[in-house]
Amino acid sequence: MNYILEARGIKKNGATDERIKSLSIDLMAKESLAIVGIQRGIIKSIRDILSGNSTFDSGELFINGLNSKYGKTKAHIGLVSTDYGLDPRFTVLENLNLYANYFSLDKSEYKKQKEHLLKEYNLESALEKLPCELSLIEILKILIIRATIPSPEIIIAEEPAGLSASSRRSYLDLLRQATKGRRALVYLTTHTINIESYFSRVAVFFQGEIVCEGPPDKLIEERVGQVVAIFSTKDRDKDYYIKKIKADHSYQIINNKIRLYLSNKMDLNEAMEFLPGENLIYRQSRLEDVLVKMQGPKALEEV
Amino acid sequence: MIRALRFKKKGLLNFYTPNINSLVFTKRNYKAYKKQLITSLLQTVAEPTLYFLIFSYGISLFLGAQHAYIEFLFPGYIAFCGFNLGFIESSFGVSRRLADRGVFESIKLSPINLEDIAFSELAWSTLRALFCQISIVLVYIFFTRSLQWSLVSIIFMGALCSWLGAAMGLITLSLSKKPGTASYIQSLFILPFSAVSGVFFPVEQLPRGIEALLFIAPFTHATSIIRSALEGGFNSIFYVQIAILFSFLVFLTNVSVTMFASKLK
Repeated sequence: MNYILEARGIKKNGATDERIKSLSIDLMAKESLAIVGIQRGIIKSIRDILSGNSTFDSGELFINGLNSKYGKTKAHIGLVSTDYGLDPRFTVLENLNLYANYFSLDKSEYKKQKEHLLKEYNLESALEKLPCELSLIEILKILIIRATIPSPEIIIAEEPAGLSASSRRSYLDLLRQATKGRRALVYLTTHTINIESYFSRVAVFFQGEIVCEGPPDKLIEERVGQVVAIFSTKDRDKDYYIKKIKADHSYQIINNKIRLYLSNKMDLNEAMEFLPGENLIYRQSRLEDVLVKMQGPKALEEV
Repeated sequence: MIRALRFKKKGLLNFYTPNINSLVFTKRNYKAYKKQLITSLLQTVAEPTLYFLIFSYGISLFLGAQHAYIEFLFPGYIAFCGFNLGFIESSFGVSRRLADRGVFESIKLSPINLEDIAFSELAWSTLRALFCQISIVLVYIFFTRSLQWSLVSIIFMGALCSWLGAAMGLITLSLSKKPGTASYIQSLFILPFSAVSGVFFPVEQLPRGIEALLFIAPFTHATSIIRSALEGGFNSIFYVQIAILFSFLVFLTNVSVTMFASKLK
């Protein structure tokens, strides 16, 4: 298999919220993978390791067949992260020119590509602005353009904090646009909103390691089933319901509500017969439920 | 001893080989400098040149000997400015760039090594000090009306002094945990040591003990070398001092590059 990114058993010690016990992922051309984790510190650790900006204690990382330990992998990666922002002293145009200089790109080719990208992302009017004069979504657009200018095979993008729902969708659309063709995408986020519709694969990171990985639909079906029922009941009836469901289904009690993950053994009609009619919500399972089932109520807060 | 072992562990004793590609970051700094040209020139070129003008012209007048003091002050002042401006740029200037999020972050995404980035900072600090040294040379030429080839070698040696100061500044910045540490080092060590190393008056006039102490500092050798070059005194002591200065230069460049690269990680 020709993987563009191969991480094998990467381990990194550090503070609890940054420690990586084991990171093993692989990615082929055109694939898009979302790594979902609850702690921002871990997300940053993974981002820095994959993009070649941080070392790790053990394991191996290959980018386009090159071992990251010997360097030279950065030319194959485009990183989109507000932590690696624009040079505040220079305008947008100067920032892009500087970046192209750092990569020693061919001037005429760079000029063509830059013009095309600026037009495509509708940023021609922002060229002479300083980074501090731009909105967050404009900054993200520039960061995407900057990342794609050296024509990398992989884009590693991190979701910035404080993105509104509509901006998040625009950001994901922009990333999808940037990775059309053969380019692969790794997206790092702390939640699962919009992930199912944008990514071909999802890896859930929990307690320092990837606990499950696969296409979103498959993950949902395997981990939480097709349907989730959420209901509240009086305390004296709780034991009755739990006894009835615990043999065949998994459940959680969060905020005094029982979250029941209906296994494929039972269909919804069957379940409806024994569940209390009042205060019952049932819906199709989502990726968010996978995270909540694994990580508990904290994942709900994050969502 | 423990510190030396830690240095070895961090790779400080490894030998750094400069990479010419890294100078794109020096170019970045030059572009940022050009954006605030007037302020930058006033601070690092006009002020030191003005001091040189006032000291040399004023004291020469006071002594009643035309150009006597300018001839004495000029070589030492070239070294003095080099050390101090090199140190200031690589400690305060780099520290400011570290605080501006996005400056180092964007180059860190490129294939340029962290060691190369550190090297390019040394090159930029040297270049910035060189602007001032050239301005002082021009003032010297204007007053003494003497245009000689030895001035070229003086500019070159002045650049070596700036490089040495820049390496010290980068080491200080890499070691300091608080932003103000560099200013203590600058005020308590770099400035007084470089000032008494034969810049404003001959070292021989100092007490024997202090003279011996100054011998181990690179400033004294740098000042003396530039003075010898101006006077054409290329004797054996000159070459010994050149060797001492180069040893300091190679060692401090290596240490500063490795330490700053480690800080950038």
